[in-house]
Amino acid sequence: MLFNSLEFLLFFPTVLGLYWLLNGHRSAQNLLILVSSFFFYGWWDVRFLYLIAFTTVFDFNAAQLIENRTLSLSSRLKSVAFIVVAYLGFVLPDSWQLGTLTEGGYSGLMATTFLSALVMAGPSLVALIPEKLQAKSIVVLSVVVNLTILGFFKYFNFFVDSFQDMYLTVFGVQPSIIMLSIVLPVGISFYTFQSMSYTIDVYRRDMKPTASIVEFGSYLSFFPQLVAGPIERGKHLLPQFQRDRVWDAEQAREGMWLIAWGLFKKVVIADNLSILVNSVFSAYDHGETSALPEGGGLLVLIAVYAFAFQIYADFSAYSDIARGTAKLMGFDLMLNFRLPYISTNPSDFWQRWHISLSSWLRDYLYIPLGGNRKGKFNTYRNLWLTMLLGGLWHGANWTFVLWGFYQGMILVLYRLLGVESAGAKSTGVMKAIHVLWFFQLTCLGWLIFRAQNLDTIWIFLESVFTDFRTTSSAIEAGWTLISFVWPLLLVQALQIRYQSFYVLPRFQWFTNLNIWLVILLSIGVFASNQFRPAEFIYFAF
Amino acid sequence: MRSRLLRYWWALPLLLLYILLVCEAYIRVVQPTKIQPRYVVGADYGVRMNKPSMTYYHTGKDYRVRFAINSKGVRADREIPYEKPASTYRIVAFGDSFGMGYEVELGDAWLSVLERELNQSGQCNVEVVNLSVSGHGTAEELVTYLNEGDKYHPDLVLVEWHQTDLDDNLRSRLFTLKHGDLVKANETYLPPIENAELLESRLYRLIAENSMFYAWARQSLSTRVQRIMAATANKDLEQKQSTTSDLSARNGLSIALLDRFAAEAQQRGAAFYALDVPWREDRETFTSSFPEVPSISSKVYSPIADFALRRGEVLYWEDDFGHFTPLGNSIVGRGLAERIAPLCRDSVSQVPSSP
Repeated sequence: MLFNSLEFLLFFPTVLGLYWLLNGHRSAQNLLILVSSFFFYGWWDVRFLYLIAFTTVFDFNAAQLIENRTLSLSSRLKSVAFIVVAYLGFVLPDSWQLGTLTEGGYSGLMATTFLSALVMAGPSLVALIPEKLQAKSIVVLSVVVNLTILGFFKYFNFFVDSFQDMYLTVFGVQPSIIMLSIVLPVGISFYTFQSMSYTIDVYRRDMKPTASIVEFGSYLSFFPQLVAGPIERGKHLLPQFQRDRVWDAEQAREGMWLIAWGLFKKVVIADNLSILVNSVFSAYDHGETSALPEGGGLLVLIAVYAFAFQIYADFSAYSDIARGTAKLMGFDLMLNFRLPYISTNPSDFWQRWHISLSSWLRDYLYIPLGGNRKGKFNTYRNLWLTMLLGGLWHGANWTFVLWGFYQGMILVLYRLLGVESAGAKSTGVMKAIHVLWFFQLTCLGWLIFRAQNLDTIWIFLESVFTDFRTTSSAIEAGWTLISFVWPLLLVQALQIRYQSFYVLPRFQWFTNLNIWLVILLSIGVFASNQFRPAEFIYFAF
Repeated sequence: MRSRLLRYWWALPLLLLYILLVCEAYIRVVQPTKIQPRYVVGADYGVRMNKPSMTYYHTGKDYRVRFAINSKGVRADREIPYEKPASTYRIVAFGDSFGMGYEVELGDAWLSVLERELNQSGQCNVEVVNLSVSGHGTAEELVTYLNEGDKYHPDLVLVEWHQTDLDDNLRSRLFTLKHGDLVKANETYLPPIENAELLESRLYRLIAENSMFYAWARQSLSTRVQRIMAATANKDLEQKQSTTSDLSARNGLSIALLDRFAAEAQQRGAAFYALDVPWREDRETFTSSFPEVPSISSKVYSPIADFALRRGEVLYWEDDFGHFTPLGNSIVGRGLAERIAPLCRDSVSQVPSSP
């Protein structure tokens, strides 16, 4: 279910109404969140709910075992019931055909049996491990299982394909390896990382595990942020499920503003810029041509700038709507974007862009690798490796690997050349120059990110640096870019001016009324122009 | 808070008025919308008809067009009796907004051009009765023909086809296919239409004929509702005909409807002709969506070839969902006249001369 769809417009108010009707009954509210989150996710594909249920049961019990080394019988039985119901509800109806089980049905049955046995025998199995290694073994198993699921659904075909290409190049023979038809479950990268952080935090004793599978299931599948983040941490979000939520009118007002502004960014800015971006990129996406773009280098440059604003408007819109819907339910989700395009250097940028992922990579990858504690060389290596894996997190494509490599490279170069500290300390005109220069580097990164293949990157770079024509299509594209980006820049300027992301309380009610009217009318007009609501870019990751 | 609200209660209507004015201004600046009020009411025979005895205007960027509807719901500047005048070849036309001549004056509409061209040829005396209603699909047109059109004793039944008919026919649920046969499924199809009294109220007419915001809101809402209804009907049809593809299932109903239309006309002694309104991709590209109906394949006029001769000219209005311009109407009317003239001549030659 998309935030910008008619279904969500019916779904959310219904859930919200029921939710506050249950005010004062925390367990019932949590159960409602769990059920409605599964309904929300199942709108795409019911079968994938089983994967979330599997991860929920596995990591819930893993965390319990890490903390207590044992599981109560009732907890074990609830877990088994949870996964069995998930199998019967989400897998069996689709895989029971003409009296037999399909391959998917058998795989699900095996997974259910394996997990049920593991949960029931968990404490006994843990007892077989030397006590010192017990917690570590469980957390390692949790990480391995999570990464295996993620790797299988997201990267299996990519690695097989890449291996086949490499084999063909080296030996001149095409190896015969079966490619599976695997559909990427929406949001798997987000909830897998969220789940892993929970068991790791419990292992690190940064938090206590929850004893309620409903609480953990609600935390993991919380529908506002399930599909595209922010990637929450157990220690921040889970305690919110463990205390009563109180209706706060001011928080609700902010929540409604976040939803409206998010929808505006998605429907008005991102979706309209995507038309401009796709008009330039689409011929190259499928390798239909290798000629330089007819519109000239300026058009390519404008398309790349447009993509920079499209992806920002699109992704930050999702985060805003997620935060807004959560606020209306009395939850606080972490901030995911802090004006990223005013960054002066790469470190600054990663503290402003997709903060929940960059901080996750920092806490669970960069620091465990050694961070900056083992000399300059190791710091640079760790930075590079973190960015490389961060790139790969986005998807199974060499352009994402190259994007991660590029991000690692500019991080290291900025530090090596001392530009990072110079940019951070700069003020006035010098700061503006740093911001503008770094924005160009960011856009080069976005070219790598948006291109579907490496050829497109070279063709577009060649066009920008050799074809200096000012074509009519470039001028038209420039006007399109300006006409859709200025509201974003205006709001950001106000956010900087007032040092707050929520600027409405600064204005008189009459100004607020006009802002609301324009925002809502814009959403209505541009949404009604779309044949069907467009998906968010980060759903693909 | 409550006491403040009570104190300023008189300001609420002003506030509401202000909000409406902002909405109007926004739409006029950001999304200028054609103002095309549609005055339709439910006919006794269960489908929509033009509200009789109405005069109103449609306004677009480049035109302001007068619509006069006579007492029988026909867009015409005169009353037309059911009884056919002697020695007159009567064409009764059925269609949607294209048939009604949206966005052009009555004299420029293709049915008027057709009537004029045939009369000027001096070979037959033609009268066109236009029973088109904006929003109609073939199913509603067939019901209109059987209940109202037949009263005019047509010599030729002319059906205008448009791509939207594919979904309109499903959505109306007036007919369905049962084992390949067309059967009546419902007696009425009256999608949300305004109350007849409301249509006459001054305030409604003031808003409907002048407000772009109202026009935009109405159009957006009806488009959404239509999409949902068509999707639901499509789903039902797919489930009933699980062996056929979506497209063939949609086409199947329309094919059967057109086939029945021609058969009903023949049974009543009238000739049959169809106009295929091409779908405009751009000024130079037009496509046909007319389904393959073997029984009438030689009785369909598609103006695509004639449009190709005027490549690059503005044949459809190009803002929003554009209908034919006067030039587009003229080409269609003349093209049809060429094809219908022989039918009309033959009919006149078969009539025994009066003593």
